[in-house]
Amino acid sequence: MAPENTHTAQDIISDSAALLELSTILNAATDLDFILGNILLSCMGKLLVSRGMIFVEKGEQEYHLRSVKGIGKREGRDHFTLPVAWDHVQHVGELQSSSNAAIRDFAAFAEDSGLELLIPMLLEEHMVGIVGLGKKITGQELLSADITFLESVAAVAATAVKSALTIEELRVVNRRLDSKVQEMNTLFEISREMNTTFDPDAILRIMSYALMGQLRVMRYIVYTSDGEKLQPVLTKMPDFDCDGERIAELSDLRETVVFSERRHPENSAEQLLADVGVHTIIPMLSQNTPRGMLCLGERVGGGRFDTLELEYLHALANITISALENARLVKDTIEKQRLEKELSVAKSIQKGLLPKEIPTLAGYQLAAINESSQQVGGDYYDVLAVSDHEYVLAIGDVAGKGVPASLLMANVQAALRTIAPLRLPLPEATARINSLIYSNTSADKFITFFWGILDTNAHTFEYVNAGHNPPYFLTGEAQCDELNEGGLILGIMGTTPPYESNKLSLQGDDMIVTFTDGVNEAMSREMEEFSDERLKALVQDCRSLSAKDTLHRIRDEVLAFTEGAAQSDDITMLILKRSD
Amino acid sequence: MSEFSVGVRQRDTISVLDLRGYLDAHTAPELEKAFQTELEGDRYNIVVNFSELSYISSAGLGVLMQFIEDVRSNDGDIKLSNMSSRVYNVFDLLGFPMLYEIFDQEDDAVKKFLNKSENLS
Repeated sequence: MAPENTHTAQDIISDSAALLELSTILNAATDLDFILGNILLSCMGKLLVSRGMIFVEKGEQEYHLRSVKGIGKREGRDHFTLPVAWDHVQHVGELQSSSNAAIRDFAAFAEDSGLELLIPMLLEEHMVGIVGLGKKITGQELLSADITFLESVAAVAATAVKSALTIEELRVVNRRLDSKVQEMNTLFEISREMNTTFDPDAILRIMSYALMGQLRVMRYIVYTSDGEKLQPVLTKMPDFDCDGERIAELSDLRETVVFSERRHPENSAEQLLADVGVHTIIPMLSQNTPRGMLCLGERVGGGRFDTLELEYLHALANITISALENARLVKDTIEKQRLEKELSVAKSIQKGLLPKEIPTLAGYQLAAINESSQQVGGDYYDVLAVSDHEYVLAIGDVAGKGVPASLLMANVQAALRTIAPLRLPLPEATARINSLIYSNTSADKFITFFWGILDTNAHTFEYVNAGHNPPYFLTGEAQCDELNEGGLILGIMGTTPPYESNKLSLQGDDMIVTFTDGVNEAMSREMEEFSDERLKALVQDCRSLSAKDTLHRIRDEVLAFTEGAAQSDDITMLILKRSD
Repeated sequence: MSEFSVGVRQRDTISVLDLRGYLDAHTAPELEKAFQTELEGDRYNIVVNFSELSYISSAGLGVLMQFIEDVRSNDGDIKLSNMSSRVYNVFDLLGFPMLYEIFDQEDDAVKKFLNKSENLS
């Protein structure tokens, strides 16, 4: 039997066989835990040691406890800073008197764990890990040959550990990369999808898929703001009254808020949200202006958002708010285009209803104008011959604007053109026009209407005024009468008190000036009305002018008066003057 | 545009949703509709078979999340099966394997439901 303290040829062969076997196993493996386990078992089995630990390098001079054998699970520290690279086996006992506090700290842990020897795993003088071993269970001292064996094991192991560490690191990096790619794909998909829809509900639905699918958020509220008031537009907080008024303090939020041990709710709105489980508030900024926020609560699987997830949330919040803003702009534009389209339809209907040309009347001048405003009012005038010397003259103003007003106007014209040729007495004809319009329209539609029949032989003008601005009748030198005879406006009652008519006798250069309220009620920029008085004085001032010049004069005065203000109503006039 | 469809089969008391094609934010509403129909019919034992699904984005996972609470509070579950590795990878990256039972084969998912109801009776 060989003496205990010597190393025989037999032992050397045995050592080599063990090393070869270990080396074969390690080189075929890529899993770090498997490799470390094998290193420990191989050392412990060969040297009859019952305790072992391996620390592996993780970061600069950082060593993590990664594999443990023969020592119960220990709570507490599992990583250490070691500002050294040992080039040979260290004895724990000697290290405890090291001048370096970090090394003493490590040695104390090793001692405490029952380790005696620390064997560095060196790769080109770099320590990739440390194998720690306890006492031999036989109580024998370690031989120098044992040390040589351990150093050989460590050398063989170092390469395998390094490769496994690299592979492990790659896996982590790969996974992180995969996550990032996944995140980018999601954002890309969301922005593409959001750009193809202008429906706010669809945009919010896409966002909620992303919150739930990408981040597993189950409780959240989305608020948006029109610049004044926060309004909940999506909520997954069933029992929470999420009225925006209650959290008005947050309407100007620009920075992300994450409630934590260090950052508690700072105002009552934050407290309110925190109380229902909101822990993260992401502002939604559109061109740097707060336009809403995501209030995020419970996630399945728990946990707060890490930095990358917060970045993702910011991107998501911004994409969402800009999609919502776009949707709003598109909606506004479409609405505006629809209105413009409607206006142009209304204008063309209205223009089509006005007489294409004013007939020439023997011994009379007739002038007419309709200048429509942006808004398109419902002004109307008409001239039609009912015999070779009798003409119907009419002017009216339809309630409302746009297409509905134009259609009502068409109704009036149809009624007038149907009834006028029947040659009924004027009051009765007016009553019939009224009942036709009444039965064809709703009660809120009405028309102020003035019409009359001019007889160019008898030089008479018989008229009915159904609630229209009284026209001016200029006769003699300075006489200016208002033509009021008539009755109720058209279209509000099916049966009205009988209309009354009045027959004027037209002399010399008598003139009748009819107009709509776009003339006398024209507004200046200072919101002053042109007024009946001003109009009456102006008309009297035109006493010596022709019908056409009078018309131009009035129009020019009104336009000068309203210069700079938006023309809010049509300017319509029909002027008749006897000229023989 | 991207193609996606959902087929529904009944196996015993279990609804099996067969997903086909490309499931993303654009097509997710279809899956949402399919789930809604099952829930409205009080069918809360649901297996989603992914064998014909070629792509899933987080929006698809969002749909699953949207219904899971409702389903589980009605003593049901959504179990997943037959995922390609590509589809599984997305679930894995987003931490979903801890939330859903994922089976290699539809039969195993169905059996799990049936065993549970046997134990209860």
